[in-house]
Amino acid sequence: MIITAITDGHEVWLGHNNTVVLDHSPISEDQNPWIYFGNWVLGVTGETYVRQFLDTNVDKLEKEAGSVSEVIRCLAEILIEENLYSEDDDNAAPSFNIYCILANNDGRVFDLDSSFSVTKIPNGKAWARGDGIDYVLGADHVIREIKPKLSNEERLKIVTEAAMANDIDCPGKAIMAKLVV
Amino acid sequence: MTIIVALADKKYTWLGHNDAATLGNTPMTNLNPWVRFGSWALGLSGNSALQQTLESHVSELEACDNNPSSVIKAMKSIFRARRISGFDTAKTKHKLGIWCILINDNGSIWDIDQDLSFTKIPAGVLCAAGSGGRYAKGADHATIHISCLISAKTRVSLAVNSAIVNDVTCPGSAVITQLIVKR
Repeated sequence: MIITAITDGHEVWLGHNNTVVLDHSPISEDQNPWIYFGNWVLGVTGETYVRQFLDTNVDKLEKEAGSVSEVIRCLAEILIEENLYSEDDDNAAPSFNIYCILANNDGRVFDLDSSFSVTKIPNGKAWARGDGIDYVLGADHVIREIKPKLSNEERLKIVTEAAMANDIDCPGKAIMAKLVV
Repeated sequence: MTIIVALADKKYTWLGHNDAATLGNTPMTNLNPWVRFGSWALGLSGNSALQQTLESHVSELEACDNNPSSVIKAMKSIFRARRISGFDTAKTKHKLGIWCILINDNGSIWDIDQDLSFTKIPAGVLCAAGSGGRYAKGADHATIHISCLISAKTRVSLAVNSAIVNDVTCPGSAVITQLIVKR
């Protein structure tokens, strides 16, 4: 599965392919990787059971997630409480086996790696997580070079479809949505 | 690693690459990943020692005919004779740590993976290999989507530059060269 996002600093567009794969077989069309809570939306790729577990804890996220650091702390607490993490050695940060995009309705977009290290994505840069991320970033470079005035919605659709055209683990249809919470 | 790209139009096959390789985390410039012999060009990414081995024995490659299997056979023979990556053993599959593009001067292009399996690339489809290969293919998807009239040379240039911009292990500048297609 591929998830994508782009912001102009005010308006956030989200994208994904709507089908997940089991091994390499497409299953479950109309999958939605985005979890909405408060002013936030979290796109989750990686271990599907972790994503399902977060779905069942959305009330806790609604209640406690204000700032970005509170979102991270709350996510980590939920998963650590259920032992949904792994540690390679004593000095390593725990890995939660998911890779995420976090966006706020004020226009901010963040990348979350498997240890929940957070990086703010610059305005005007398409970002992605999941299978096919390299295809997305490659496609986005070309759009910036030869058609920089393309709308963010259309731009995100093309880069999401670049992953879907090249990666068999990103099947289905490209779904675009403007973040509204 | 590196990025190597190839795409043919009616007159030329366009070859692209970044002109630097990484040694550890340090870019080393003036890289040329293409080995020319007879009617062929072979682009290599990955283990650079094997490119040097092939270049040292290019006379054995010069003897290849116009069939890609003769090139693969010659490459296997060179590696086996030098006991590279277990080619002297009875294994049927060998992982060489190189990913190649093979081009004939008639405009045909093949992708070669690290066990030397080869696949012909359909006409009009950009072939890319190396660590930046996926960036290049993503770039070409966007290029075709935005402008179907764009030239093969420009497609190759955009693909290589996209890999250079996005992949820190593809440093240096884009170099685009051409082979005349002989029909």
